[in-house]
Amino acid sequence: MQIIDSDEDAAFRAEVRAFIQQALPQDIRDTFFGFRRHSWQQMIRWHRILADKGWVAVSWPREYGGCAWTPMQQYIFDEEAMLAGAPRLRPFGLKMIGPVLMRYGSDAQKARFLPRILSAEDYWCQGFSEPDAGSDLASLKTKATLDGDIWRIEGQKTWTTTAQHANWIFVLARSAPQAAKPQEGISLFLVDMSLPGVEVRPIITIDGDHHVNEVFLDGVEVGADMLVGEANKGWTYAKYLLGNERVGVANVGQAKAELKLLRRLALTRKRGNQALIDDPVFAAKLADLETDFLAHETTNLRMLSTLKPGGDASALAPFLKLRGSEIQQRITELASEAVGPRAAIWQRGEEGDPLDSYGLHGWLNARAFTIFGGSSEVMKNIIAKTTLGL
Amino acid sequence: MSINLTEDQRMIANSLAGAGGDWDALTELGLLGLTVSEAAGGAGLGVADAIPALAEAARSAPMGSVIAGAVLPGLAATALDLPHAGAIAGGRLRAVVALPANCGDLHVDGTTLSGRIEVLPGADTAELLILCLSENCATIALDSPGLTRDSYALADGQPAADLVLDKVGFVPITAPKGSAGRLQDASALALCADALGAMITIREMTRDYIATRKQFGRAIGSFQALQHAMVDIYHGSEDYLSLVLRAAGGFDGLDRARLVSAAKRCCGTRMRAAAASAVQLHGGIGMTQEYALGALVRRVLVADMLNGSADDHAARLGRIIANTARREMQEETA
Repeated sequence: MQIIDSDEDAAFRAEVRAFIQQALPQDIRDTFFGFRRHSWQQMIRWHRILADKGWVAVSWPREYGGCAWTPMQQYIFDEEAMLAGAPRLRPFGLKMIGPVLMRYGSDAQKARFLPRILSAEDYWCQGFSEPDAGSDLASLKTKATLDGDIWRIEGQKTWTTTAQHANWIFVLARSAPQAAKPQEGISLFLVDMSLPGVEVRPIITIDGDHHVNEVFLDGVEVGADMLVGEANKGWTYAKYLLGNERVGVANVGQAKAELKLLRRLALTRKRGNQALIDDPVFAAKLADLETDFLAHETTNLRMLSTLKPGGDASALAPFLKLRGSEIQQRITELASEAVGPRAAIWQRGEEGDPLDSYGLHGWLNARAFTIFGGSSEVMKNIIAKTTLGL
Repeated sequence: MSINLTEDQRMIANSLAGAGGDWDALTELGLLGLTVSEAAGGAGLGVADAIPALAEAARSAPMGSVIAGAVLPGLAATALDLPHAGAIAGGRLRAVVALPANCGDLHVDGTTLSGRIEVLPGADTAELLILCLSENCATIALDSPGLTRDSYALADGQPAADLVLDKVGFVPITAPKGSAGRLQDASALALCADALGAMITIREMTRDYIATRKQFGRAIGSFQALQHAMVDIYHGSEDYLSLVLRAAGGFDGLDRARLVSAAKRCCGTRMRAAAASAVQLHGGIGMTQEYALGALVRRVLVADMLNGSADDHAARLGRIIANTARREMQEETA
């Protein structure tokens, strides 16, 4: 196969590159090229810039304000944005609940929520995992009880990424405790986080940062209009949502941009009398990482090329999630090696020191990639069952 | 997922698979001239089309002797514009190509060549040696005085030989710039294609075996440890397939060296490990000579050993990556 843009795609790439060149603020670029992580505010600013251009929902159909780009165009856009140092937009609204509402939501839900995802007036977080329901998500215990036309939700969610910034949360809750199988009694709700009974408590992760939270739902009352689709069909919607989440985790564009940054780091660092990148031991590790990335990128394109816009990615997603997460971990591994002893500095705040995304913070943060969105072991279970028929 | 083939590639793959290594069948089907130019009586197939066809055919038959005896001599005859091209295509002349990886201490002394050429598939019965070292290429008749050969079989069953040259006469050829490197890469990638076909068959056999073999009253493929090992074989070979096809598609571009070395490196790292894991999942039966798995595994190993080791290709990749980094840095400061 050839990975060369068609004439149309090349024109598209040029248009995208020109826009990003002009529209992406310098401080946001500097953050990425300074080996630091983008802040929430930087991400939101970029989201709004893209929203003004009409380029925020790359996969959504036009009727909902999306770009309806082909998978190839989406890939090109992602690649160009990441290489320019843009923040990655969070998936919770754009890639998770948005597509679920388009497919399963009511007309009123679509009209109310989709425009506010585009404009970033609403920011969503994901109320799936619970203290006793991680990989075994279907064993979740949060309860939803129907009282007249009000659902009362009671329970605890955890590992809720960016709940401290979000104003809405989509929540899986058990609505039919007597169902024959655990998967059959689950419903999906849309919950306003300003309602009484919603409480967010931070969890500090091993990288010392605040990404995730516990979310307590203490008798939170929502109307029947906040139920997605039919009651007790939530598992179907959740599987669709998770398929989309896992494809996103392939993160090919981001890995490509980070590899470029890693090459630069290895070029400017020394080992002995030579640049680190010329050191045979380091170069061999980098060669293997770049080889695996090249394979992953190509497998990703082969798989995406078989996928129709809006199609069901659930069979392909586990492959992309598995390798994509592993490659990102290995990038942080080599990056912290390239940084050397200064990677061990824990204190933050000073300009460029520590190298925030590439020190041990980055390595530790990346441990989460093979755990969230379905752990690597769960991905392998799914592939064994669905693709290999074992 | 499977190898995506064009109509033409599929036709060629079917013919190649049907002929296997049988010389008469290859001659009759016109496959010996696959990569010889049309002007010289061949099919004029380029590397980009030959590789997917070879990989597909290699699922059912080993392609080693076709690669050594037809694909590479055809490419060399075309690239060097040799007068032998028509005879190679017509099956009237058996030729083999020696590349830098085969040659140790060759040295020219006036009008003769001395030294050793080692582990050259197809050299046992070939009549013409096409030597491609750099811009300086040569043809040598293999019945020349001073040339002795020591023939043997490789681990995958294909015949090969060492050639010892003691003041052997040669016909010098000035090759177009870059043609030796291009042939070396074509050779490495063709080996990768044979290993890819073998690997796809290995993964199918292994999956079927663990789905049916019963121990402890149940299929062993129902155990999670074996399932995860099988997923690694499947996913690894899928990535390898991506690398081989991408290197084929990009063979005529500026990125050829990087793409070929990535495929060859992966052959020696992930595919060798996947082949070993396939033997492990089969258990005792996988260790027997009689069972079909062993022959397939040996093809993966031979592909890894010839034409640049996995480490050679990692080293080359390392240099390419360093050059890329320097170029990127210059572009940024410019």
